[in-house]
Amino acid sequence: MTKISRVLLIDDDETSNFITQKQLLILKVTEEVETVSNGWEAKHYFMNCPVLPDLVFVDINMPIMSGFEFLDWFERSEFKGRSKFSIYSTSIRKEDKEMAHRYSDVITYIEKPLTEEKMNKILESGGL
Amino acid sequence: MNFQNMFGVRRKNISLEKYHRFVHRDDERFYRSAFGAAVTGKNNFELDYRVVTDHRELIYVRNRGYLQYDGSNKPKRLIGLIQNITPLKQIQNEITLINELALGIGNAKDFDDALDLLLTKICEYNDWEYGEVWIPTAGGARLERSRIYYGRLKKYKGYHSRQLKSGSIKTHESLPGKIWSQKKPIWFPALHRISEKRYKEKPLAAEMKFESAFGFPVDPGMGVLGIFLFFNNTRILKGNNLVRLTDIITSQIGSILHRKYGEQLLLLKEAEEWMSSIIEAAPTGIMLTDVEGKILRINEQIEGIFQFERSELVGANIGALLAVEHKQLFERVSNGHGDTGVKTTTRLRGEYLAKPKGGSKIPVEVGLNKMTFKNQTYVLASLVDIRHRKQAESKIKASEAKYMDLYERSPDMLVSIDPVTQEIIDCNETTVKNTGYRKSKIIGSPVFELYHAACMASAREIHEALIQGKSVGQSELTLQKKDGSTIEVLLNARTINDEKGKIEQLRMSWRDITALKKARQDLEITLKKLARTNKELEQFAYVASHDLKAPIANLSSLLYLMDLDKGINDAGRPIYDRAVASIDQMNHTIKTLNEVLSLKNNFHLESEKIEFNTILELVKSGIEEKIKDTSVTIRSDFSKSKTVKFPALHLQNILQNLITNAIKYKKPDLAPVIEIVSDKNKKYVTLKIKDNGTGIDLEQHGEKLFGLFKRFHLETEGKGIGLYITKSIMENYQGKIEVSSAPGVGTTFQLYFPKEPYHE
Repeated sequence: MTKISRVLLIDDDETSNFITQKQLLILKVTEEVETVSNGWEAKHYFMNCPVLPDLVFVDINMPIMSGFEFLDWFERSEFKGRSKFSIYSTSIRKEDKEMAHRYSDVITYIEKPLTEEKMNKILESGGL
Repeated sequence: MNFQNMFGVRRKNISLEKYHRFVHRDDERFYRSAFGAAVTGKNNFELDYRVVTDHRELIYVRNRGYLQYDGSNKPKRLIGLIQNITPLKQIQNEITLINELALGIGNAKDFDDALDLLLTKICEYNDWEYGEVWIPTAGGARLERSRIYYGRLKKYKGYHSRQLKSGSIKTHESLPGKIWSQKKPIWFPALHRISEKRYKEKPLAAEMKFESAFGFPVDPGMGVLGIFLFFNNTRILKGNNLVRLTDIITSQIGSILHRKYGEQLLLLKEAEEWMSSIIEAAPTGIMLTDVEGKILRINEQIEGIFQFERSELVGANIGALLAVEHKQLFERVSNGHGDTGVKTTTRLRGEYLAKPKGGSKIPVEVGLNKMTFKNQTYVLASLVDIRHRKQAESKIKASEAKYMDLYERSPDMLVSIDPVTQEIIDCNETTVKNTGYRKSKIIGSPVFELYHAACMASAREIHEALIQGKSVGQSELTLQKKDGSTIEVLLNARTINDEKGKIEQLRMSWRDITALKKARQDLEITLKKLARTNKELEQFAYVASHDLKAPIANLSSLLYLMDLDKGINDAGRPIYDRAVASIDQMNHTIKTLNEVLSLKNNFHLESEKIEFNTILELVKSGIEEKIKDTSVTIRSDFSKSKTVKFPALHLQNILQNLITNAIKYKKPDLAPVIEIVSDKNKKYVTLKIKDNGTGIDLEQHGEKLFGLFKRFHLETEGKGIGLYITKSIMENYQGKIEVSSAPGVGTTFQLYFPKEPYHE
């Protein structure tokens, strides 16, 4: 499987982060996975990190700053176009899907849990 | 014959001066001048004149004589001879009279004229003071005084016209009646001796100082044409000459009179034929009766009104055709008896009730006209059946009453307004009731006084627009009642214009929508509440499913990772497997709940015209493999209704649910057969889906069949939401689903799609 140098998980569900992180390692997609627990933290991560992540898994419903609020900020920031996002959530709402397509840096929308199949879909989407 | 015999007085008692009194007053002047001349002349004299003797007898005398002179040539005595020349004079007069009569009657323009001539000549010849003629009525039942009379003096004209008014008499009454009955000349030498019972005109005749009378019937051989009656205020005349004269008149003149009468009849006949054709052609019912009311002639219209044959009507009495309450109607015009005490008139018009054959009464307009034609008095009656008019009138009255009722009791307040002063001209009861003001207070008040201050500006705007001829739609305004409370109204207004387009009135209707508005507000509040509750519920369901889903998904992943990391030993394996199965089941439930939620999100989909066949084909291709595996037969017949108005997505969902259900619950040893048939009735397009599967015991499960998460067969897999979803969809679009089933036989679902476009 193609390697991705750096992956960031933005999710307030720590268990979910643990599972996803483990799964990514098992699938050998990347060796470096970092996690933040909401949009606000992610914003600060981007503003301070020396190297930007290639792929970011972002949950929608999070306290303080939701996934979409974060993406809104990202679209207007200097980082626009420099990282790709996959929205991942436990439930897929039609409205959420439509919303996701508005952001140019969002490449997929997947339902948890992350599986090998879904990961392949992300890699094949060509956004990376 | 001596003097005493002739004059009824001794001669020696009569001087020449006294002799003058015997001379008939009509000849007195002639006598005086002629006698004066005679006694101054030298010759013999001869004078013919009439005298009235002390026997009260009129005689003609020839007076001859001469004056004897003495020696000095002075008149010594008058020698006179008086001879009674009455018979001679009579014969001479009769001859003259008969000649004159014959000539006169022959030249008379009609029968009346001939009678007039006859009467006058007879009266003049025989020195009658007054003469009259009685004519039988058309039916011959009564005698009627003719307008023809003779009067020597002017006063008799008044007498005659007074007598005319008293009307006709019966054929045996009074003097003419006696003559009529006996058919011969009769003398009445002393009228004062006849009782008033037998001589009705006695008091009036006494005023005229009539003492004697003589009458005779005129019968030229074809029945009595009339009766001549003469009166005098002397008790003179023995009348031999008159009897003879009567003979002469009836025999000599009779034939001429007869011919005249014949001409008259002929004329009458022509006139009658002419009249007949007029009567027959008249658009109204016409009847001709005599004064007794006996029907002489009718037209076809009368037959139509009364439903009697002509033969049944002619000869009958008009009284029998009118309702009892109008009994005196005819008499008021005909005044046949003259003694009924009924106020009389010669013409009459009005609405009365008639009695046609069968006995029921019908309203008719009756016109009665009394008329005299050739000495005969008739009553011409015109009748119009006014049933239709009456009906129409009562209908109009009823509809007027109905309209008034509609107006007064209209649920709306209705007012008419003067466009110039803006004052209320009229209003209905509802306005009075709703505003609490008295009607007299409302009328005359400016309309704006009824509006609440808050809407005054918009009310004025509307009125202004109306007056400018702009059309005004409905507007919601507020009225203020007398007690200060308000009424919410819906205003409808229009103008009433005259033919030139000038506005005469503003008409307004105020519909009280206070309750409606309140209900609307309440409804809005309820709807808002409901929407909020719904939203909350949805959110709750979303949060619940979402928030449950995440930990369960995590749990599932964790268990998977645990196994992957070889964290399960043999002892823990069965427990681990059960934990995985439980989590799978929970996952499945959550997924289903989410499906239902997403379905509800699709309930806004619009109905469209879709073909059953198209949808069925879509469903079939979707479950193609399943169909092949179970070798199911699907038969469809959409001939009775090819299409339906419904959201295609939902119909597809429903059909798929029901078909997969049918396959799922097939009998293990029988290839499933599904029949799908469309139909329609007044309200719905229907779709029947019938299978030959295991069937459902509806008595046991009926109520739960369409519930959420209900499964009826343990051995089959299923989410248990198919029928719930189907029912939800059908009901959301005002349709319904019914089921009939018997275990071991099969199940039939009947879907009802509403024909009318559904409204939310």
